[in-house]
Amino acid sequence: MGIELLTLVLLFCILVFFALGAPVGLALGGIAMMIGYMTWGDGIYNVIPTTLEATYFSFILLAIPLYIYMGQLLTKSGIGDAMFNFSQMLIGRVRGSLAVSVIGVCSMIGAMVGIIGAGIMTSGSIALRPMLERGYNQRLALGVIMAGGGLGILIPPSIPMIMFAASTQNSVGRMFLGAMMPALLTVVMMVLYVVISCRIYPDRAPRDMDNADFPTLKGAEKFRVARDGLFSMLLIVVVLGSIVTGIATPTESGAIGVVGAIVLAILFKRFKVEMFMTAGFQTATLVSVAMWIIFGASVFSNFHLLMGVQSMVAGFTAELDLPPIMIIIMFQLIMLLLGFIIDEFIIVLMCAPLFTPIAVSLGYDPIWFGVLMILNILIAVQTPPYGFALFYLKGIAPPGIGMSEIYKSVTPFILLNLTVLILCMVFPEIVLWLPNKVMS
Amino acid sequence: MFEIILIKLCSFIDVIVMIAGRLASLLMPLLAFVVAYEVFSRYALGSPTVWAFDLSLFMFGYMAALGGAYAQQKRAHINVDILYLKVSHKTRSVFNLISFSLGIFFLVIIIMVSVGKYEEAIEFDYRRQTEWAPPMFHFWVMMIIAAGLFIAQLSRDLLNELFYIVTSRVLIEEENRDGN
Repeated sequence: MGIELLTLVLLFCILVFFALGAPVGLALGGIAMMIGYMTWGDGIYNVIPTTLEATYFSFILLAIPLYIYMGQLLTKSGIGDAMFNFSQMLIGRVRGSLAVSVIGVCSMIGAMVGIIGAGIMTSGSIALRPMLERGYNQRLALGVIMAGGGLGILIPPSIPMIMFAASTQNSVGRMFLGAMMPALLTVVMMVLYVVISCRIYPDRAPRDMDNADFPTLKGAEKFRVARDGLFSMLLIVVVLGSIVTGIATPTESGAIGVVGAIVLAILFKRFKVEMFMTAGFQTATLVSVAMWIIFGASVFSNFHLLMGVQSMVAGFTAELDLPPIMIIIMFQLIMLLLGFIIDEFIIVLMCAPLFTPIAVSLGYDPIWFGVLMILNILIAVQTPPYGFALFYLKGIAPPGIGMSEIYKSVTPFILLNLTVLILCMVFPEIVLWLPNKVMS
Repeated sequence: MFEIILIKLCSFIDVIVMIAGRLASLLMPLLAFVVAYEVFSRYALGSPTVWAFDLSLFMFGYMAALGGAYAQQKRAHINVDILYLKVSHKTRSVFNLISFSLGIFFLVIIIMVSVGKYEEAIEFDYRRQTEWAPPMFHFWVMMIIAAGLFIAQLSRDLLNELFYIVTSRVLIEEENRDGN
């Protein structure tokens, strides 16, 4: 069977089993082995042990449980409230301040949690109710939760970035740094959008300080709120700083983050042994889920690569005879389309090993391509009708809010994300400036 | 009678898988401690450990692989549910029948190759290529157990779906499965 036909058969099988709702990791591995056995014989089973060793003995992937654990601990540690109170203290006088705080705080929480779903759930559970109670426009409230929570995969440390780095043999540190400026740009644009649109349409957001329950803080309280808020931000600085300065590998800084999260929880008087164990338990389940997907998807892509898909894609793109940037745009469209139906992990695991070498051979920087990939995924998962982040948002929204309301709420923020994507594509320096400056 | 045996069998598998999942999750705090200790040892004690690297990787592998079956019990594994949630209960059972069978097929192959690797590891005394050089054989034993548990859980779920397709009755009421 030629590679073209084989690829079609594989894609067809994926389509069928995904439609049946099969667990993704098992389905990908199973399809690869089934088709592999039929076309190649049982020699193909040797893909499994090499893939097992490559995935389970990867020190880069070891960062995943540590960051997820840190995120789980932090969401239970009261850090969200601490940061929220602090930012309200700073900007409470601005119209729409609560929405701005949500973007800031949720992007931080999302960043630490590193997975879209968890980011939205955490942000939503902390901030949605206060906004609705204070009379914020429903669409604006939902939109900022999605925007802030979704940013989690763009702001390092981020699990999909770790996966990208692991599957393309790139530096996790460079990847994290590369995403910093685009992330900052996105946050700034979103904040500006909220502030400006609240100026133009004052009915979207009340002035929070006019509200009766707006907290007025005295000296000592102010100090405590500021201290808690600053400590929370310090943790992020320590985690990222230890990677950038080379004190610790990204994996080790995940462990430092876990210790830091425990210290913060003790400081905020939220620490309980039970919480510690529950967080460990939830993390273990998430890690199992992630690793079985990584393993299954790697078996699939290793099999597919072994059969020569790389040269097929390369040949195909050469035959198209398009300018390199068009090929990059084509790759992005494919990832966007995939992102409409499947989850962020799987897109990275399937597309990164396939597309990145071609992007590099066209003369592009792999980190730049990786950041574009993350941005595409970020957009795809919140794009109607099936972007799966929409359903998380629906899950936390008050009953009675329909899907169409959710769609409308996310639209302006998707457009902002799209703008950042285009800017990064046109000006690669936005991505590459920081890693080149710090790590060259 | 037959039904009672089935229920007993399913509950038995549920308990075993749950215990394995809970035990595996205990590794998480330990794992964080080992990696953090390595950093501490390098900077505060002035000498890196030889064992932290391999030990943390083994713990990671054990936790991730052994938790797979329990995640299935909790229906936490990610799937594409656009169509899946729209079809009737019976159709969904048929869907599961097909996809769980594929999963079992994949896991059986994992066991087969793991047995081979285990025998090799014992015969040639394979070790990790690091200074500490811990033996590898136990990893393959663990993979066999992890895949075996996963197969047991999938077979149990398969049985339930079959029972429903044949009798239109639910064998065991599923508890609230929300992925946590």
